[in-house]
Amino acid sequence: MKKKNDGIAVLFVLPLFFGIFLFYYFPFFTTIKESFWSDVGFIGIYEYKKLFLSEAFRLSIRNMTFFSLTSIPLLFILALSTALSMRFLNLKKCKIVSVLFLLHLLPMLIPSAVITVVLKIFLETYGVLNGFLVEHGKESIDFLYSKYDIIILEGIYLWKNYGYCMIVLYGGINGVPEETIESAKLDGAGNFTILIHIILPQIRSFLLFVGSLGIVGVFKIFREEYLLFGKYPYDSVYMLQNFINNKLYAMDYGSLSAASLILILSFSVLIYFIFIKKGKENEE
Amino acid sequence: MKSKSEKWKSGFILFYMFLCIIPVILFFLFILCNSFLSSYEFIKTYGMIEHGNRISQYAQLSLLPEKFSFEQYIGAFWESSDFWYYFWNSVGISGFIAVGTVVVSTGGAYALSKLHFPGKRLVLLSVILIMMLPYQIMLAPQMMMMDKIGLLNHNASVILPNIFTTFGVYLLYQFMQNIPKECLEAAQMDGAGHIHIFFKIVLPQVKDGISALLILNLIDTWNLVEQPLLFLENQYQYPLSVILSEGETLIENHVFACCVIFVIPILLVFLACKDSLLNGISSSVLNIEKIALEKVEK
Repeated sequence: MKKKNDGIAVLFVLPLFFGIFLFYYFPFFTTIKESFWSDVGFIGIYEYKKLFLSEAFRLSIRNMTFFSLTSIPLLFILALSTALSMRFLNLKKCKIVSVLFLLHLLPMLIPSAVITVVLKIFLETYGVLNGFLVEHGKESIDFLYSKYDIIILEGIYLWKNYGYCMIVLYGGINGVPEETIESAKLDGAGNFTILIHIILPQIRSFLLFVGSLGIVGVFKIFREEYLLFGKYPYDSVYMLQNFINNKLYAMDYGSLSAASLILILSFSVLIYFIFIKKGKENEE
Repeated sequence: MKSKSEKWKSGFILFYMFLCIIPVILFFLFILCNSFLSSYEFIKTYGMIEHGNRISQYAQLSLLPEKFSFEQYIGAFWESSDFWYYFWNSVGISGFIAVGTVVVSTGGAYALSKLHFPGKRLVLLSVILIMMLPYQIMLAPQMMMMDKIGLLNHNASVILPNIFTTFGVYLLYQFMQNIPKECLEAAQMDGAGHIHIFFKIVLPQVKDGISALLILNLIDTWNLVEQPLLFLENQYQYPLSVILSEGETLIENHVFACCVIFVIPILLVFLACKDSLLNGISSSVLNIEKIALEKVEK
């Protein structure tokens, strides 16, 4: 069937075009320009070389990788276990299930500023936790600049993101037909086997979605990190956005643009792989 | 026999759920109860956290105030009238962004899902890419651009970029993919033009999606910190989210009351949209495979 171009489409898509072009494509081209050209002219990959030699940049990449590799699997475990629990309770016709759904989603709503206010009361040098430690004769720890920071950050990350992921997985698990599970039980399969061999393969696309939510969440947690730990946090939580932010305040647009470009390219590659991989799977 | 182990299982799972939601409940209780502290008690428990005088005494955990008092609320509302500036700034910014996002996203999603035009695939991929990117990347170039256009220091500099954060387009696109093509073709055969189809047929069916979009959008925009800080100069233009996170000295004694008031609008919108949100989240995933198929067909 010949695909005819709808003229009216222009009307619908024009605001979107306009916005994306003005606020994303145009800055994107500016970024490219800033990273390859400077006041003295074309500088080629000088900024990129500087970037890879920069200890701060390498630190931030190391940290982001470590953070993703540890927290995303935890997110999966938490979201999956919660979804399975909710499904179990739903099947038992438990009355508080709908309330539980809302309560699981609540952490996502809490503004970063409010979380920061509460956490600071506990974690500051003269905060509640330190008061507790001192009362029992131990030394006070500067929690906001210590090796515990990454645990705190991962905790916030999991707390905020598990609810949404749980609901995605819950929807997926509900989609698995009852008969399949029933017949597997009749064949004598234990619950764990059912989980791994039947449920998980059927919710593959949902797991992928949770994965991408996890990755986006890792970048979003920057706001809590910045509000809690400031511009120059402890080494283990120095994130890529810290790097970019500090370059912004130092007006070092070259490094800023090079780092941004690398990030954009990485995301593009990631999305490309997700689509091509999914496409090939569907062809089989 | 069987029912006993079933009961154990149910009990265990309920306990696990309880463990998961305990932090949220405690969190809200903490803020709520502390918002009823009188000034005197506030300084007694948290005095050392204020800027200025550092009493070397550690903060104490106070769940229930000894004396219930509305001092914090009164202080926030009446004494420092600044609070309302910030609050209405937040409401205004979030409101405009919400309206703009719905307008742009519905139109864009409809075009992407039901119409054909050159560059459609490119737009779709851009939408997905932009949706996943952290906003930090675009801050600097956007600021320079705002400067050139002359919008810096105007609320529009914060509102406009956030209207085009393409998450809404993608979400509504998923919803619209669920509407069968036959439905539209039937309407077209009856002589309806695209505009008519859009308003009378497609929009009512994605009402759920629009509510889900509203609450998800609000969660992000109610929280904006960096963009207002960079793009707006005047302190009185800042939304409440910036003041709560940066200006500890501006709302010293009334912190908890401000937090409570800050959280209430989001909770209200959430309660209003919760059903659509729950419906929307699960159905949004199902169409990833369809998009992948289309790309491969090319």
